[in-house]
Amino acid sequence: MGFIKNTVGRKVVIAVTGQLMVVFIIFHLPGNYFNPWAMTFPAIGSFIWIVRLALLLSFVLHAFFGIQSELENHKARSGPYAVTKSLSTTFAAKTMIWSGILSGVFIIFHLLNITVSVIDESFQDNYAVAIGYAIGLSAVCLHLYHGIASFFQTMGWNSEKSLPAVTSIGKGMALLLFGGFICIVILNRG
Amino acid sequence: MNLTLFVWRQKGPDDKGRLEQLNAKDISLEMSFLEMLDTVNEGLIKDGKEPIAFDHDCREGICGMCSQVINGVPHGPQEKTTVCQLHMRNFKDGGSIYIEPWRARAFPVIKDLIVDRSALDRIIQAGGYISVHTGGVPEANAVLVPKEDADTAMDASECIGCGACVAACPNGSAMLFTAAKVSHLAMLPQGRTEAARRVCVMTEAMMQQGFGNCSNHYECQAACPKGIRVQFIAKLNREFIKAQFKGACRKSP
Repeated sequence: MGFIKNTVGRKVVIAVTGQLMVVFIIFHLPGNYFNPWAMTFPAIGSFIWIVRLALLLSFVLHAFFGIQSELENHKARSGPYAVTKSLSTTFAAKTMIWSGILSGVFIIFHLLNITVSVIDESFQDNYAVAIGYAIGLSAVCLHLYHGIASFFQTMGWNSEKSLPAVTSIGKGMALLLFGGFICIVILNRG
Repeated sequence: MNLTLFVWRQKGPDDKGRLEQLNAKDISLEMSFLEMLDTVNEGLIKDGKEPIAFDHDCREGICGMCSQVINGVPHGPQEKTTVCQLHMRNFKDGGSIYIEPWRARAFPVIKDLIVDRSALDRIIQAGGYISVHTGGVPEANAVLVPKEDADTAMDASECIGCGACVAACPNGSAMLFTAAKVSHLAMLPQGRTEAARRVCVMTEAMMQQGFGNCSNHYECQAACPKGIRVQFIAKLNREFIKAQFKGACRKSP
């Protein structure tokens, strides 16, 4: 069990589970535009349940280790500086815990809304729900703005030269996903 | 030039500490930052007041003692420079300067601007060494090291262990320091033998000392006076994942 007790081990778990969810989100985007294609998913039968279980496990592990790390990091500081100046970090990186919590709430809402249909309000008909979706999507994509690029650093899948490019591609992907999803909300508002 | 200083004053580890406003008068542009503090201290001593306690040793940028956050940036505004090599020409006449010690739970303040950085030594003690007997000076061509590897090891070995990475990190993590040490030894044949065990015990020691977790802010790289790059953290991560396949992290050190 040394792996998940180690700071790097946990970081790898957070990175891999996060990236699995990103892969799902990438497939989810065209799924929305090509509904017939997405509809073939249930036909795969047990496969969908394997994916669902993997995603659920990823969600739980990602949230657990993410929150645990954040609490430890908070303790590792001995109070704020009178003057702080950020040199290279981003707003997205500094707000990972908040964008993460907001994303988690949004995902649960989205599942209750669309997958389980417990919440019977659609963003097509209800302005408040549409705004909720826009905020949720912003949180997810802000999280990915730091998360996707971070995955490659955590896995060590970059080199001396490729790090800046990989970081830019990660940020670009997050923006593309945001653009893709927000169009669905805007275009379908009746 | 004349400056207004806001200096962190703390009598001891248990004192709460506060910022004190002091005036630095007739400071020459050619003075180093530490010489400016020396001048202020002389004035304080003449007035019968307690001088500012700050750490320094070599004053040539290689010892890593001068643990000061100047206007929110460890080692001040000039890139790749320690406080002792920072000169007053980098500041504006009549301006204010905030001087604070490194802030991290693993670095308790001893007095004013002096912190206890021995937590970094304990990370080294855990595994930042090679224990194989390498004997006397070997024949130069007996163990070949590619030029690129030697250069990378040399770059990593530039770390002076000053702790600016910890001071800059929003998480109070010592990952850049640990990564520099791990990478330095892992690049060379003598260090490879224990590479798997080393990365496990050093990262564990980092946690035990109360440092935080790395979350890729890269503030450390920007603050490092020796230009240690975050690519070394990626290298540490690769070494850690490789070590898992050898089961090196399961054995207790």
